[in-house]
Amino acid sequence: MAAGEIDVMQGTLDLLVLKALTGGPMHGYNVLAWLRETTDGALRVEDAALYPALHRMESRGLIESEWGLSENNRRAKFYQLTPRGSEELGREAEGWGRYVEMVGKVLSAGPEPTWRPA
Amino acid sequence: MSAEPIWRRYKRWWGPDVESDVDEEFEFHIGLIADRLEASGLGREEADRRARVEFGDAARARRMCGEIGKQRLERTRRSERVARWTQDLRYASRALAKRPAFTAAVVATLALGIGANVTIFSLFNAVLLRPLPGVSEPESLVQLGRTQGGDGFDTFSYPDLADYRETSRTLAGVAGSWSTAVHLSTGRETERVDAAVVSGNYFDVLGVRPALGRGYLPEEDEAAAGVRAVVLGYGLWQRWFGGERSVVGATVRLNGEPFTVVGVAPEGFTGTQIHSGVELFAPVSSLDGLSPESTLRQSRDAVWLMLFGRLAPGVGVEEAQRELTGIAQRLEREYPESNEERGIQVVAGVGVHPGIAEAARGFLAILFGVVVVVLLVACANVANLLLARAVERRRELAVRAAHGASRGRLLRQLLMESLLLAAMGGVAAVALAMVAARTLVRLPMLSELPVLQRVPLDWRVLAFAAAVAVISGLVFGLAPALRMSRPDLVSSLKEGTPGSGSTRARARTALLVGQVALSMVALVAAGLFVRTLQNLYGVDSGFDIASVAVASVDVGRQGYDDERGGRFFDELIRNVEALPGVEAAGLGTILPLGHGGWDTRMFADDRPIGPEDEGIKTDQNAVSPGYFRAMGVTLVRGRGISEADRADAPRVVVINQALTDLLWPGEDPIGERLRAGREGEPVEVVGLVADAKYRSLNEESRPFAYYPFQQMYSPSATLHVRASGDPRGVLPLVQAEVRALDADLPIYRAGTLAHWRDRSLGPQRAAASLVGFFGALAFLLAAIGLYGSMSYTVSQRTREIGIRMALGARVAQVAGLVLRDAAAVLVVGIVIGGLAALAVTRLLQGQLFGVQPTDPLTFAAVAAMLLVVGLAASQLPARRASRVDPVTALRSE
Repeated sequence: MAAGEIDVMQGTLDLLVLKALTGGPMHGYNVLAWLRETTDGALRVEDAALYPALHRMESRGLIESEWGLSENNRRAKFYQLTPRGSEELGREAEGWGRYVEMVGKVLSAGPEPTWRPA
Repeated sequence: MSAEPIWRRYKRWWGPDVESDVDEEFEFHIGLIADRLEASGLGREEADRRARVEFGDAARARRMCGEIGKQRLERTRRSERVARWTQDLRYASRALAKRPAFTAAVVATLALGIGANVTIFSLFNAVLLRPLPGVSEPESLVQLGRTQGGDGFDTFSYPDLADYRETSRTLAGVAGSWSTAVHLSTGRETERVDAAVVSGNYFDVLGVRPALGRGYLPEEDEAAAGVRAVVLGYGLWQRWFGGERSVVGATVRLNGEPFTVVGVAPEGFTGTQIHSGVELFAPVSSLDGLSPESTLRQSRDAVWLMLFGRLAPGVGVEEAQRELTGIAQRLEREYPESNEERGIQVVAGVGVHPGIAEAARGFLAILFGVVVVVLLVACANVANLLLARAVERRRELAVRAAHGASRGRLLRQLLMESLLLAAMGGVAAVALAMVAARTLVRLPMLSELPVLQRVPLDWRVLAFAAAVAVISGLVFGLAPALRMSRPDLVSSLKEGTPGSGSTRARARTALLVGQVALSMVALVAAGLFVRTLQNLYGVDSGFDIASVAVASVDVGRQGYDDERGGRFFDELIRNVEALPGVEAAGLGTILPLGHGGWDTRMFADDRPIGPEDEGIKTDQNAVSPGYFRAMGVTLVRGRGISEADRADAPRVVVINQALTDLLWPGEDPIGERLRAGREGEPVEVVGLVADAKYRSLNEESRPFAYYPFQQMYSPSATLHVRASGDPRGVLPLVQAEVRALDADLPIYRAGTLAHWRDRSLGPQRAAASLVGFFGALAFLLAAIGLYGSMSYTVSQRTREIGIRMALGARVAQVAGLVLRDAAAVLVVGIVIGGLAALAVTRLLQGQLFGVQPTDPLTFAAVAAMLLVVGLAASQLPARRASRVDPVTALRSE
């Protein structure tokens, strides 16, 4: 693992992909490209692992797909957020925010825990 | 139209080949990586290789995607299937709702056809399928029957019951009962009720839990005598005690003896025979007080108990049969005098004696045969209606086919309509059947079965109705659906060409012929049963049935001794003879055409009796002097029974012609002597009377002997009263005379002799009325079908008829055209049906009397009726055809 790269946890990848698709229909390669660009290359995810995540979300009705032509005129499968996917993104993002906030609170507390079991 | 969103349908082309889709997607991605690497200076091949490495574990991803895709595909297919079915259903209901008259006609026809079957099935269910009410785990109960020389299914002796009960391992319990009548009295009034004398373990073995109090204790069986305990039936408890719980512990009198009520049987339980309505259960050990035959419990010769048992857990009927046969053989060795040739047969289930079950099955098989005919005719009518509708719908279906509906899809939609119709017909049929069954159980014979007082609508009946409805839906729906879904797009879209009409017409004609043929079979069967009944009513019974009223009393169960009883009967006869409107009155111990008879073996006293001599099996009756006159029995020679034949006078007998012909053929029997049994005391023959029908109207001539009532006293006897007018008029007077002598004495079997004769013909009357009714129903449906079909043909041929009339055809000729078609259908149907009936009615041989299964008169009469009614049904369409106005007819196209 190169220094500074962060592994993506399973559930988190879904959230990131949903976020990526808010910009409009995208094929898999571009989803990853956008994620890497947005995180300045710090995000580490295997390209192949993206697809089961996409297909699973499609099966759950969060995203939908359609074959179309890519920028270089090749047949590519484009994914797009469904209304249900948007809702899911909102819910998950909020949950993520609360999680981050909680972890941050704990970590920024004083050097020693002040509470002890009675 | 569909529950499925539009976008998902476009997905379908993605669907079927999940894997190649995934591959294509991956290749695209890898290609882009390779493009990037190539742009950074690598050779194409190297870039491609590195791209695959960078992409990662493609095989694993492919597997996972394939898995997800397959699951998704399955889900989609399932929901599409559901969507298609609901769509078909919605389409079908809309199509039916659009034609309410058609739908109503079909549903009504099916309700009759299916309803007839459900009605008969619900009777079958109530009598033979439904477990006996009130018992627990009926599936492990068995009936036991005594065989004699391998035959029969009869009653056992009490010591035999005890032996089977003690020795058997395959049966967890063996119990027995004897059906009798008792005089029950609470002090206020006395009533004769049907009772069962039962072994102590009776309720335990059946698993019948009393509604109140207790059943019997096994030790009450063994008590020497005098267990004065009685369990009341639920109905009796309600009727006599108003359902009062304090009845337990109360004292009632049975045949004059005090008994304590210990319990009440549960509701619906009326003994182990569905045809008996037992209202009271007394233990065997009370027998000494119940009837004079007090040695019954010790004798192996006296066989009087019906036995049944409960299989031990895990034991089958065959295993029990093997063990019990072994026990029977041991008893045969130990008690050769009584038990010689005596065997045992084990039959699963209680409730119906195997002999009665067989008769009931035969009867129901005939009824099912007829109602199946009704259903087939109904289905043919519906198929015909569907075929006629096919013409109207040709265009609609062609359009749908042109829009891409496959033949399978069209077929499914058409069948869905049929099944929907069948389902509606089935629901209506169940409602109809419940009403019909309630009416049917009032018919002769059926009305006497207590078990039919409630015909249950249980899961068996509903499952049967559903099955019949689905099968009918397929029967009447399949052929029209196949025909209608056939892709003949071009000809159908070119509206106006009658096209493909001839095969359709042929199919409809075939259906009509089939209906007529089926009706012919059913009506011939009905005709044979009606003729049988007529013949039976026409039989000379040898008694003057029409003018006689009867009433029975039993003074023995009222506690009279023989002397008091004799005085009572003397006085009763004198008083009744003096009544106005009474021409004669006599006592008899056997009611003719009533409940069987009582036979002994007779020997002539004037010749030696050889060891092989079996004697003549002879029925007998004990009668008072007025009997012959009251019953209109013809005296051929000698004298009848007279006042002089008292108990202390020389013993005499009057015999009939049949017995004379067997014992002294061609001779005068007067003055000869007879013995009843080998060791019987010789009795002088003083009279010869003409033969009569004693047990049933269809019996062969039967040897018979009459003894003087005073010389062969019976504590129970039937008064036979000959009235100068309507015998019903004298009945209340006779009953009043009985009450004047003993206000407490129950009178039973009071009615006219004609009523008892009719009752003895119950099965034949039920057969004639039921087969007749359903046969007529089948034919009514067929006639409606013929009428509908002819009307339809006329409406289709309006143009042709118009042309004929324009060319000068006369009105009569045009009407004749239609009638000729109808006549052709009828004649062919009658011929086919006649041939089929010849084959079928042979099966009825055993049920017929005085008429051959091939009776030409019946066949001819039915054929003539079919022809006349069939032509009458076609008359109306024919007249309509003749009224066609040529100008309008020609202009209409």
